[in-house]
Amino acid sequence: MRKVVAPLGFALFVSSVRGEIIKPVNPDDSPAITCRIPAAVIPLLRKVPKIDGVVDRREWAGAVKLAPFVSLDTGRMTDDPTEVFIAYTRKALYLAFRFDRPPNAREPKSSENPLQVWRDDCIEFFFRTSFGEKWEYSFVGNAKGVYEEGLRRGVTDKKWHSEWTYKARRTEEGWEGEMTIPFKGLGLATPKPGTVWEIAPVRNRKTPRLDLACWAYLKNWHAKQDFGYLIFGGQLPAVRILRAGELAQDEVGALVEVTNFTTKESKLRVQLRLYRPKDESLNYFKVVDSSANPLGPQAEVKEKVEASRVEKSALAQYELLGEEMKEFSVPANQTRRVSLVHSARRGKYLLLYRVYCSEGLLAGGALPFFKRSSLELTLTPYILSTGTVEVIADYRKLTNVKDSDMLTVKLFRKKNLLHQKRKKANTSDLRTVFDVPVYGLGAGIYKFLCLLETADRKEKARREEFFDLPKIPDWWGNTYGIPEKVPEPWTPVKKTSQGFRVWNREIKLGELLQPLQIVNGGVEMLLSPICLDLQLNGLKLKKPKRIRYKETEIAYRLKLRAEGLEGELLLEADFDGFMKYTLFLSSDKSAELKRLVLEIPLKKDLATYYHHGAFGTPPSYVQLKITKGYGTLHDKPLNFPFTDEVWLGNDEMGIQWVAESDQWWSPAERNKTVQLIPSDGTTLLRISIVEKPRRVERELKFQWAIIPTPVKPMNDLYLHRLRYAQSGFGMNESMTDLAENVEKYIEATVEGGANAFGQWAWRGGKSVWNEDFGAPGYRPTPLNQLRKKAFRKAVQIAHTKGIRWVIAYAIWNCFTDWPDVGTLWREQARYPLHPSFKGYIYCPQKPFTDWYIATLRKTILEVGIDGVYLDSSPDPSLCSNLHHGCGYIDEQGELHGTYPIFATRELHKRIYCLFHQKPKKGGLVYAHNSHFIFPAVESFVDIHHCGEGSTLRREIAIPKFYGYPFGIPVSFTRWNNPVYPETRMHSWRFVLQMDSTIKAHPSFVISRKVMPDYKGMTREKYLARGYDPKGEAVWAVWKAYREFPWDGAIWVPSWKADPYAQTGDQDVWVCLHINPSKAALVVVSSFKNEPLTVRLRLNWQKLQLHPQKVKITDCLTFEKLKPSDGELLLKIKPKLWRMLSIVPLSAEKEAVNN
Amino acid sequence: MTLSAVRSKLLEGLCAMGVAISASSAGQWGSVELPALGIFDLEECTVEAWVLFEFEPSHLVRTIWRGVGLLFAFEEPKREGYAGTGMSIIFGLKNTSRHGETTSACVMRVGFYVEGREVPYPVLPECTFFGKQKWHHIAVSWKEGRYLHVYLDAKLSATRQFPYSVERGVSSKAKFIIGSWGFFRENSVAIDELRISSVAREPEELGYHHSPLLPDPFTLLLVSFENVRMKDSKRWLTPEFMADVSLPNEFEIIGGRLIEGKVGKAFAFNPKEIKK
Repeated sequence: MRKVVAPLGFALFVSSVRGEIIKPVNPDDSPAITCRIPAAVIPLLRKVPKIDGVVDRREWAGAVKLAPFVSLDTGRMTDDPTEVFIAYTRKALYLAFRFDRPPNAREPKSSENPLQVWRDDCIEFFFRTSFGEKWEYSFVGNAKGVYEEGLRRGVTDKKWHSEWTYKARRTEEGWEGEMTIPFKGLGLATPKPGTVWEIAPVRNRKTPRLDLACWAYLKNWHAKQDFGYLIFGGQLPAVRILRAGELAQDEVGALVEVTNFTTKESKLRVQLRLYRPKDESLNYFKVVDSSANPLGPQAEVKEKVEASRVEKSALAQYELLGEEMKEFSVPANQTRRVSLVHSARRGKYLLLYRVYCSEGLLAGGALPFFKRSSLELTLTPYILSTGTVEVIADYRKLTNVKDSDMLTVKLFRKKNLLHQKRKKANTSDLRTVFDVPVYGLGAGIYKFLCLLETADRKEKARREEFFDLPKIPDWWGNTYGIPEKVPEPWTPVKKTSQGFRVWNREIKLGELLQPLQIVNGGVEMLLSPICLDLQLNGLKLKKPKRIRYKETEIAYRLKLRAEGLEGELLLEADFDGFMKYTLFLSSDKSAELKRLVLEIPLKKDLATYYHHGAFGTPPSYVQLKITKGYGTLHDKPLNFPFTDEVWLGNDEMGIQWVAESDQWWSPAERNKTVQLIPSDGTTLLRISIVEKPRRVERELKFQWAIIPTPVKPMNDLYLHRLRYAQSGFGMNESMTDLAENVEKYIEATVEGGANAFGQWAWRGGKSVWNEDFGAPGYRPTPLNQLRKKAFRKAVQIAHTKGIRWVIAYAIWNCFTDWPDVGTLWREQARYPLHPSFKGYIYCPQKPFTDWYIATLRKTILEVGIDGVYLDSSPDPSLCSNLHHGCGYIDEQGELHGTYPIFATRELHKRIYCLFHQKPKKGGLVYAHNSHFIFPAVESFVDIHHCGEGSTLRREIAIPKFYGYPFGIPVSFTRWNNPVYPETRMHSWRFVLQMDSTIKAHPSFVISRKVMPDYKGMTREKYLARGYDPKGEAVWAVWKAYREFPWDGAIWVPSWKADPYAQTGDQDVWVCLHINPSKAALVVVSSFKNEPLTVRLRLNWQKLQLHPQKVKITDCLTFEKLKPSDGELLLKIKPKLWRMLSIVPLSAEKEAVNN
Repeated sequence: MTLSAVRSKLLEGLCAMGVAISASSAGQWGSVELPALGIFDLEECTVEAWVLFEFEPSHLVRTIWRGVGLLFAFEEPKREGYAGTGMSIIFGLKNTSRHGETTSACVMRVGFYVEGREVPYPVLPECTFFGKQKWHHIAVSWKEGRYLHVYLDAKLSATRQFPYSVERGVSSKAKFIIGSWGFFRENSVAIDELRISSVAREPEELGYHHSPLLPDPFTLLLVSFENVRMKDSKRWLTPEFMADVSLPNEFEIIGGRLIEGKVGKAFAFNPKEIKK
């Protein structure tokens, strides 16, 4: 995806880049690591606890008691207490837990189905028995004592089983339980003292709202590196964090206990430190992660920073309030405690604790917490989306709230009361949400007053908060990038007698505006018409009307009536063939919708592969159990629950169906909501929207879309003639202008073959690009004015020297402190909030898109960039931010997320038009998406950039990595990163078979002959390695591509290569680019783990070449090869490849340079 | 009934101890205050000690509560917006009617109040049988903040299940008081071998069966009144064992007097020697 290996002279900005914190295998080697990763040494128990689900204090007295959990949402200690005890015997690990729940909401959700246990309130205990392993054990149990186990590798393999014991029970305050996991079931002997596991015990609470908390703060659900340390201690005392955080209304602190159940005295050293942030807006773990790695989770190649440095840097932003340092002995069979107390007011605090014995670290960790007042207000402006300020009154600290109590929120400007809202207290959640309208109010300071009163107006609590209402920003509502004309390369939409035509596809419409037929490149895709089975009593349809028709779109409306109900079906089709259907049904009585099922019958030979999106609509992305899937369709049907997309196709074409939401859906069987049903001659895509009749008591809306692929002509320019290198232009030493050697560097890069350059920067420093990772523009600072000027200069030089596209990395998150966004960032963020560098992951709804487009356009005008490198943007990610239009609350009152497909598409359409219509044309939208191509969105990208860290499996090659059926060129990101499954050189064997390339860094192509002072590796060094797994082939591949005559060439993939070439081995693939009689470019890829000699047979007749009259050159080693009896004998190293250029001898001197 | 109301009622009968306390007007009634944070827990705990009545517990009285005194109390003090939480073990003389005959009895009262409200209901085991000048063992334990047990001489004497958990956090301002305190100033009791434990002890574990007491992993506080020294004209008590090493290691003894105890010395709350 990205890499910072800057060329010397441009690398200075990189020197300020810090990567991730060094996590040693054993925290004893660097106890400062506990400022980020908690550690606990667990003792060998003398007495085995009885696993009965009752957490008895005496039974667990010899166990370690972990520090309270941290909410993964806020990064602070949870409001409701969490307690976990861990220890072990020679046979098993023992764990007990007690999870309190909010007052008056003390019934945890739990079912009796083990496979549903993840959906309940549960404890999820993840652990890795080998440090740094890529998978972990997952042991999960709910409050009913139902449990399940599995192996988690991204998703959890539930087929793996192990004998273990788990019991749980509900309690007055919440629920508790106990478990024991025998080592034998894990294939392990008793861990020796000093053995380290990595663990993440997670309290996964589903009600009253999703709330994930863990002992270790996990940046995200899959942040394995954030797991805490569990060290088997043998005969050592147990450290027990008895209390931490708020001790009383006006006190904070901690109480730590050390119990020594061993037979020997132990010398202890306990350090407790209490801090307060110098700035209340600081989030501790974010501070630490930023100190270690300003980019957070998205960093691809990281430097490592010593934990002590990270700790020092982070704590510099905190003020030490108090500390307790004690050294003492604990005789055998005794206990000692250490307490730290500090008077405190409302606000944020941080507790750091470390306990050592003579053998080393016994426990350590950091616990940020918030000391609350009895009534807290959270004010969030949603002035763009809904014209309101969301006020959340939180009274969970009050112990005497009654159902009859009332909450009142008043909005004042100076002394004038503007609005007042009153609601009953919510005694189950102890939080009440108000949306206070502020539409039409001018910007300025307002006061919110919240009162909690008894029914007879006796005040129980009050809180005032002042609020700076921002003005509506200038960027809101802009129309930049919204096309009036059809952008390149599409053609205008044309109406036809039966429907309409877009580039390469004709749609004939039938009943209920559904396609009778889709003719795609002359091929009829449907075996029979698409059927929308809509059943309503007394349904009557009016004649459809065309309501819009212009060159960019065509739209139809079909009005309908039924008993007690009316509605309409809209079809809005765009110039790229995207057809969005919206069905509205409304009733002022109570009508019944009997059935709504969509069936798309594709011809069978057109539906050999599929991919699908995430399953279900939980409120949070982290709750998705399956995020993507792809494969080959066989004769068995495939059944899925709701998913946001399905694509069905072959290696040339297909069709994608998408839907954002399953609100109002009622399939007969949840797991058969989406079905792919192969039968004779057809593959049916069936979407069961409503099968169980549902009442229509208000307006219901159902929405979906289809898009036949390919969405646009495969662009040979981006596919074969674009040579992209990514690095960064730097400023000079005095930061006043462009670095002096940029020009030389560009010359050297161009000489190496590059014609596209990606401006990458972790953050400002010496870079000419902005200091905000992922931002589409510059903050208005004097230094940025210079940066902007320097970047513009670099772009101009690059254009002059032969770089056609200079693009900038410009998307990742929204910013909490951007000058013309301010507090409105909450409208731009994905919910639940997903922290990232200087902000949160964005959601592409209009509040983000309008800002982004306006800012990016400004950058294009001021700097002249030719495109953007978009990171992970095309994948519509689940969001439940109700205010900006995502998510919904179902009839049971549960929050769901939705997939903002249409907003994602709109964002990309507008970006595309900025670079392909106005203000730029012929630009480059280079979009990184590690998942498969998402046609409804990636219609509007020039390159689908994929493959980062992916295992390149041949059986999923076409649906996941192959661009042709979508009409979108593909490139890969593969670095020699130890966490990747294979090296870059190995990856080429797969990449080239997909008619694709790998993103380069200039150092791979720069020659010492051109830039003698270039330090580090140059192309000569790489080329000298030949087909070495650590080699770099990019310069050689580029050279071969530059010399190949592409005009008039055809592409022959391996699965269609038989008439042209054979290897006789199904594990050795061959693909070809053939320009008959002029040239052939042949790639032979071995998927074997051992070296082999391949006998490559070429059909010279088909190539229109004569084997005796050709020059065959290995493109990487430049070795000349001669066929024998028309065959070539090729030696190939394990999992590597050979690339051969074949040109007629007569053409040898007519090298074509593209 | 709030604790203050209980106190008011008890106050009425303070003079019942008149014989014992008449000589004490010149001295202070004995007490020791310790910080409770780290040595006391409202979720689960055992408080136990040997006690000796320096008065006659079967002394006939006419009104309801005729004589009172306090053995131990825990108090999380009131603050603005917080009505206070506490626990106390007190005793007093009470008249009882059985078969038409009115007699007096000595009753312990073990009760909790949480956030200003009494937790229904306190337990009232009778301890008349303690007699005068005899050492007896009392122990009070509770678990999960709800299940209360009272042992007299290691025999279960009373239990109570509270309707809700009394578990609350203990702050640094919370105190554990031994002896005379608040309204309960004038009582003629001596104590020895006080132990606070982090678990609800089983009867066989109680100090009644173990003498002298030694700290174990559940011991939070052990006071036998052996280590008392004079400093600045004050008496300072060093507990035999205190789990929390952050706390001071000695505490001032106010009033009272040291006497021969169950084991070694003991602390009598009455400053004046009582004639046996």
